[in-house]
Amino acid sequence: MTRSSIKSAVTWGLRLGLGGLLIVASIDKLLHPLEFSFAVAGYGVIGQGGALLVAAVLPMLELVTGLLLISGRWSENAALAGAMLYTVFLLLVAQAFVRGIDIECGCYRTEGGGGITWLKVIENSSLAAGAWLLFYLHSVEKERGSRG
Amino acid sequence: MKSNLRIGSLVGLLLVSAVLGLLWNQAYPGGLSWRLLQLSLPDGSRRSAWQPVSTDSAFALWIRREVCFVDLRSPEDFRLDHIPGALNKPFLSFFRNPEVVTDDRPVMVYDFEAHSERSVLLVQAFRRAGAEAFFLRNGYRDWLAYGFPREAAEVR
Repeated sequence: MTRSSIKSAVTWGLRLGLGGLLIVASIDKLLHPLEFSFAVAGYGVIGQGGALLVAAVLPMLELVTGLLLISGRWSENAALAGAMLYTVFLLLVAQAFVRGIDIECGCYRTEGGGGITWLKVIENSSLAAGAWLLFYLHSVEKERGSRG
Repeated sequence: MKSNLRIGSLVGLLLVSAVLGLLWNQAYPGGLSWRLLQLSLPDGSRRSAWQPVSTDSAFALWIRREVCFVDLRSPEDFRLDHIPGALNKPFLSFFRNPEVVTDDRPVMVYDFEAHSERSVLLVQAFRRAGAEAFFLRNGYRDWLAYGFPREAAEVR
Protein backbone atom coordinates (compact mmCIF):
# COMPACT_ATOMS: atom_id res chain seq x y z
CA MET A 1 0.00 0.00 0.00
CA THR A 2 1.51 3.32 -1.04
CA ARG A 3 1.64 6.38 1.14
CA SER A 4 -0.81 8.27 -1.05
CA SER A 5 -3.34 5.44 -1.01
CA ILE A 6 -3.17 5.34 2.82
CA LYS A 7 -3.68 9.09 2.85
CA SER A 8 -6.68 8.89 0.56
CA ALA A 9 -8.18 6.02 2.62
CA VAL A 10 -7.77 8.08 5.81
CA THR A 11 -9.33 11.13 4.12
CA TRP A 12 -12.22 9.06 2.83
CA GLY A 13 -12.77 7.41 6.23
CA LEU A 14 -12.67 10.73 8.08
CA ARG A 15 -15.03 12.37 5.60
CA LEU A 16 -17.51 9.54 5.88
CA GLY A 17 -17.24 9.19 9.67
CA LEU A 18 -17.31 12.86 10.61
CA GLY A 19 -19.84 13.81 7.95
CA GLY A 20 -22.10 10.89 8.82
CA LEU A 21 -21.94 11.76 12.51
CA LEU A 22 -22.92 15.37 11.79
CA ILE A 23 -25.91 14.22 9.73
CA VAL A 24 -27.05 11.73 12.38
CA ALA A 25 -26.63 14.38 15.10
CA SER A 26 -28.67 16.92 13.15
CA ILE A 27 -31.79 14.79 12.57
CA ASP A 28 -33.18 14.62 16.12
CA LYS A 29 -32.37 18.30 16.62
CA LEU A 30 -34.23 19.23 13.44
CA LEU A 31 -37.24 17.22 14.59
CA HIS A 32 -37.24 18.61 18.16
CA PRO A 33 -35.83 22.15 17.99
CA LEU A 34 -37.49 23.43 21.17
CA GLU A 35 -36.09 20.57 23.25
CA PHE A 36 -32.70 21.18 21.66
CA SER A 37 -32.86 24.83 22.70
CA PHE A 38 -33.28 23.67 26.33
CA ALA A 39 -30.21 21.46 25.95
CA VAL A 40 -28.22 24.41 24.52
CA ALA A 41 -29.32 26.74 27.33
CA GLY A 42 -28.33 24.06 29.85
CA TYR A 43 -24.65 24.60 28.98
CA GLY A 44 -24.90 27.99 30.67
CA VAL A 45 -23.07 29.92 27.97
CA ILE A 46 -26.01 31.71 26.40
CA GLY A 47 -29.51 32.42 27.67
CA GLN A 48 -32.68 30.71 26.54
CA GLY A 49 -33.38 33.41 23.97
CA GLY A 50 -30.04 32.94 22.24
CA ALA A 51 -30.45 29.18 22.54
CA LEU A 52 -33.60 29.42 20.41
CA LEU A 53 -31.65 31.02 17.59
CA VAL A 54 -28.89 28.42 17.90
CA ALA A 55 -31.52 25.65 17.86
CA ALA A 56 -33.00 27.10 14.67
CA VAL A 57 -29.69 27.36 12.81
CA LEU A 58 -27.14 24.86 14.18
CA PRO A 59 -28.87 21.58 13.18
CA MET A 60 -29.16 22.77 9.58
CA LEU A 61 -25.50 23.86 9.63
CA GLU A 62 -24.56 20.37 10.86
CA LEU A 63 -26.68 18.74 8.16
CA VAL A 64 -25.31 20.89 5.32
CA THR A 65 -21.72 20.47 6.50
CA GLY A 66 -22.21 16.71 6.88
CA LEU A 67 -23.66 16.41 3.39
CA LEU A 68 -20.82 18.46 1.91
CA LEU A 69 -18.24 16.32 3.70
CA ILE A 70 -19.75 13.06 2.51
CA SER A 71 -20.37 14.23 -1.04
CA GLY A 72 -16.81 15.54 -1.30
CA ARG A 73 -18.00 18.82 -2.76
CA TRP A 74 -16.32 22.04 -1.64
CA SER A 75 -14.20 19.67 0.38
CA GLU A 76 -11.58 21.97 1.90
CA ASN A 77 -14.06 24.56 3.14
CA ALA A 78 -16.45 21.84 4.34
CA ALA A 79 -13.58 20.25 6.27
CA LEU A 80 -12.74 23.60 7.86
CA ALA A 81 -16.40 24.19 8.78
CA GLY A 82 -16.58 20.68 10.26
CA ALA A 83 -13.39 21.24 12.23
CA MET A 84 -14.71 24.51 13.63
CA LEU A 85 -18.03 22.88 14.57
CA TYR A 86 -16.34 19.99 16.36
CA THR A 87 -14.03 22.44 18.15
CA VAL A 88 -16.98 24.49 19.37
CA PHE A 89 -18.65 21.29 20.63
CA LEU A 90 -15.46 20.33 22.41
CA LEU A 91 -15.17 23.74 24.09
CA LEU A 92 -18.80 23.61 25.22
CA VAL A 93 -18.49 20.11 26.64
CA ALA A 94 -15.15 20.88 28.30
CA GLN A 95 -16.39 24.05 29.99
CA ALA A 96 -19.50 22.19 31.24
CA PHE A 97 -17.27 19.42 32.60
CA VAL A 98 -14.89 21.87 34.31
CA ARG A 99 -17.77 23.85 35.81
CA GLY A 100 -19.41 20.61 36.94
CA ILE A 101 -22.72 21.43 35.25
CA ASP A 102 -25.09 18.50 35.62
CA ILE A 103 -26.72 18.30 32.20
CA GLU A 104 -27.33 15.79 29.50
CA CYS A 105 -25.05 16.17 26.50
CA GLY A 106 -27.73 16.69 23.81
CA CYS A 107 -25.05 15.79 21.28
CA TYR A 108 -26.86 13.23 19.13
CA ARG A 109 -30.29 13.24 20.73
CA THR A 110 -32.06 16.20 22.29
CA GLU A 111 -32.88 14.16 25.38
CA GLY A 112 -30.75 11.53 27.03
CA GLY A 113 -27.39 10.73 25.49
CA GLY A 114 -25.62 10.67 28.84
CA GLY A 115 -24.18 13.35 31.08
CA ILE A 116 -20.95 15.26 30.62
CA THR A 117 -18.12 13.05 31.82
CA TRP A 118 -14.41 13.01 31.05
CA LEU A 119 -15.19 10.29 28.49
CA LYS A 120 -17.39 12.75 26.64
CA VAL A 121 -14.55 15.28 26.69
CA ILE A 122 -12.16 12.67 25.24
CA GLU A 123 -14.73 11.66 22.62
CA ASN A 124 -15.16 15.29 21.53
CA SER A 125 -11.40 15.89 21.58
CA SER A 126 -10.91 12.91 19.25
CA LEU A 127 -13.60 14.13 16.88
CA ALA A 128 -12.15 17.65 16.80
CA ALA A 129 -8.64 16.26 16.22
CA GLY A 130 -9.96 14.06 13.39
CA ALA A 131 -11.74 17.02 11.82
CA TRP A 132 -8.61 19.20 11.92
CA LEU A 133 -6.59 16.31 10.44
CA LEU A 134 -9.11 16.07 7.60
CA PHE A 135 -8.79 19.80 6.96
CA TYR A 136 -5.00 19.49 6.93
CA LEU A 137 -5.11 16.57 4.47
CA HIS A 138 -7.44 18.48 2.17
CA SER A 139 -5.24 21.60 2.35
CA VAL A 140 -2.10 19.60 1.49
CA GLU A 141 -3.92 17.90 -1.36
CA LYS A 142 -5.16 21.21 -2.72
CA GLU A 143 -1.71 22.79 -2.37
CA ARG A 144 -0.20 19.93 -4.39
CA GLY A 145 -2.96 20.22 -6.97
CA SER A 146 -2.35 23.92 -7.47
CA ARG A 147 1.44 23.36 -7.79
CA GLY A 148 1.29 20.46 -10.17
CA MET B 1 -6.50 36.90 -0.30
CA LYS B 2 -6.91 33.14 0.17
CA SER B 3 -7.95 33.52 3.81
CA ASN B 4 -10.45 36.24 2.87
CA LEU B 5 -11.97 33.85 0.36
CA ARG B 6 -12.12 31.13 3.01
CA ILE B 7 -13.81 33.41 5.55
CA GLY B 8 -16.28 34.47 2.85
CA SER B 9 -17.05 30.82 2.09
CA LEU B 10 -17.64 30.02 5.75
CA VAL B 11 -19.88 33.04 6.22
CA GLY B 12 -21.76 31.97 3.09
CA LEU B 13 -22.21 28.46 4.51
CA LEU B 14 -23.46 29.92 7.77
CA LEU B 15 -25.92 32.22 6.02
CA VAL B 16 -27.27 29.46 3.77
CA SER B 17 -27.70 27.19 6.81
CA ALA B 18 -29.39 29.99 8.77
CA VAL B 19 -31.88 30.67 5.97
CA LEU B 20 -32.58 26.96 5.46
CA GLY B 21 -32.89 26.44 9.22
CA LEU B 22 -35.36 29.30 9.63
CA LEU B 23 -37.40 28.11 6.64
CA TRP B 24 -37.42 24.57 7.98
CA ASN B 25 -38.70 25.77 11.33
CA GLN B 26 -41.57 27.64 9.70
CA ALA B 27 -42.52 24.73 7.43
CA TYR B 28 -42.17 21.92 9.95
CA PRO B 29 -45.17 21.60 12.34
CA GLY B 30 -42.93 21.02 15.37
CA GLY B 31 -40.54 23.83 14.44
CA LEU B 32 -39.82 27.10 16.22
CA SER B 33 -42.38 29.67 15.12
CA TRP B 34 -41.50 33.30 14.34
CA ARG B 35 -43.28 34.32 17.52
CA LEU B 36 -41.08 32.04 19.56
CA LEU B 37 -37.95 33.08 17.70
CA GLN B 38 -38.73 36.71 18.46
CA LEU B 39 -37.97 35.84 22.08
CA SER B 40 -34.36 35.48 21.05
CA LEU B 41 -34.20 39.24 20.57
CA PRO B 42 -32.56 41.05 23.49
CA ASP B 43 -35.06 42.22 26.09
CA GLY B 44 -32.85 42.92 29.06
CA SER B 45 -33.30 39.43 30.49
CA ARG B 46 -31.27 37.50 27.98
CA ARG B 47 -29.38 35.51 30.59
CA SER B 48 -32.54 34.03 32.06
CA ALA B 49 -33.42 30.45 31.19
CA TRP B 50 -36.94 29.10 31.30
CA GLN B 51 -35.86 26.13 33.34
CA PRO B 52 -38.29 23.42 32.33
CA VAL B 53 -39.10 21.37 35.43
CA SER B 54 -39.33 17.57 35.42
CA THR B 55 -42.58 15.93 36.49
CA ASP B 56 -41.26 14.47 39.73
CA SER B 57 -39.65 17.78 40.77
CA ALA B 58 -42.95 19.52 40.01
CA PHE B 59 -44.75 16.98 42.18
CA ALA B 60 -42.36 17.74 45.05
CA LEU B 61 -43.10 21.46 44.61
CA TRP B 62 -46.83 20.68 44.54
CA ILE B 63 -46.60 18.71 47.80
CA ARG B 64 -44.78 21.60 49.48
CA ARG B 65 -47.15 24.13 47.87
CA GLU B 66 -44.17 26.18 46.80
CA VAL B 67 -45.49 27.13 43.38
CA CYS B 68 -48.78 28.20 41.90
CA PHE B 69 -49.75 25.84 39.08
CA VAL B 70 -51.30 27.49 36.04
CA ASP B 71 -53.16 25.34 33.52
CA LEU B 72 -53.16 26.99 30.11
CA ARG B 73 -55.63 24.59 28.46
CA SER B 74 -59.18 25.45 27.57
CA PRO B 75 -61.81 25.71 30.36
CA GLU B 76 -63.48 22.56 28.96
CA ASP B 77 -60.30 20.50 29.34
CA PHE B 78 -59.64 22.06 32.73
CA ARG B 79 -63.13 21.09 33.94
CA LEU B 80 -62.48 17.46 33.03
CA ASP B 81 -59.45 17.26 35.28
CA HIS B 82 -56.33 19.18 36.28
CA ILE B 83 -53.59 19.35 38.89
CA PRO B 84 -55.29 20.00 42.27
CA GLY B 85 -55.13 23.67 43.21
CA ALA B 86 -54.21 24.82 39.71
CA LEU B 87 -55.62 28.01 38.22
CA ASN B 88 -57.00 27.97 34.72
CA LYS B 89 -55.60 30.68 32.46
CA PRO B 90 -56.44 29.67 28.90
CA PHE B 91 -53.54 30.49 26.66
CA LEU B 92 -55.06 32.89 24.18
CA SER B 93 -57.07 34.97 26.62
CA PHE B 94 -54.15 35.17 29.03
CA PHE B 95 -51.62 35.99 26.35
CA ARG B 96 -53.75 38.81 25.03
CA ASN B 97 -54.19 40.23 28.49
CA PRO B 98 -51.39 39.04 30.81
CA GLU B 99 -52.34 39.35 34.41
CA VAL B 100 -50.06 38.05 37.13
CA VAL B 101 -51.59 35.35 39.28
CA THR B 102 -53.02 35.99 42.72
CA ASP B 103 -50.26 35.10 45.19
CA ASP B 104 -46.54 35.74 45.50
CA ARG B 105 -45.40 32.21 44.79
CA PRO B 106 -43.54 31.40 41.56
CA VAL B 107 -45.71 30.21 38.73
CA MET B 108 -45.55 26.72 37.22
CA VAL B 109 -47.20 26.73 33.83
CA TYR B 110 -48.36 23.50 32.26
CA ASP B 111 -49.96 22.31 29.05
CA PHE B 112 -51.15 18.83 28.18
CA GLU B 113 -48.31 17.88 25.87
CA ALA B 114 -44.59 17.84 26.60
CA HIS B 115 -42.30 20.64 25.46
CA SER B 116 -45.19 22.91 24.73
CA GLU B 117 -44.37 26.09 22.85
CA ARG B 118 -47.41 27.73 24.46
CA SER B 119 -45.89 27.06 27.89
CA VAL B 120 -42.67 28.77 26.89
CA LEU B 121 -44.51 31.81 25.57
CA LEU B 122 -46.59 32.04 28.72
CA VAL B 123 -43.55 31.70 30.97
CA GLN B 124 -41.95 34.53 29.05
CA ALA B 125 -45.11 36.63 29.43
CA PHE B 126 -45.12 36.01 33.20
CA ARG B 127 -41.46 36.90 33.42
CA ARG B 128 -41.97 40.11 31.52
CA ALA B 129 -44.75 40.92 33.95
CA GLY B 130 -42.24 40.49 36.79
CA ALA B 131 -43.23 37.05 38.09
CA GLU B 132 -40.91 34.11 38.56
CA ALA B 133 -42.15 31.40 36.20
CA PHE B 134 -41.27 27.88 35.12
CA PHE B 135 -43.03 25.22 33.17
CA LEU B 136 -43.73 21.54 33.45
CA ARG B 137 -41.36 20.03 30.92
CA ASN B 138 -43.30 16.89 30.03
CA GLY B 139 -46.77 18.32 30.44
CA TYR B 140 -49.92 17.19 32.18
CA ARG B 141 -49.94 13.96 30.16
CA ASP B 142 -46.78 12.87 31.98
CA TRP B 143 -48.24 13.98 35.32
CA LEU B 144 -51.16 11.61 34.68
CA ALA B 145 -48.82 8.84 33.51
CA TYR B 146 -47.02 9.06 36.87
CA GLY B 147 -50.39 8.62 38.59
CA PHE B 148 -50.04 11.90 40.47
CA PRO B 149 -53.20 13.52 41.93
CA ARG B 150 -55.77 15.21 39.76
CA GLU B 151 -59.12 16.81 40.39
CA ALA B 152 -62.14 17.85 38.41
CA ALA B 153 -63.65 21.19 39.28
CA GLU B 154 -65.17 24.40 38.07
CA VAL B 155 -63.00 27.06 36.51
CA ARG B 156 -61.66 29.49 39.06
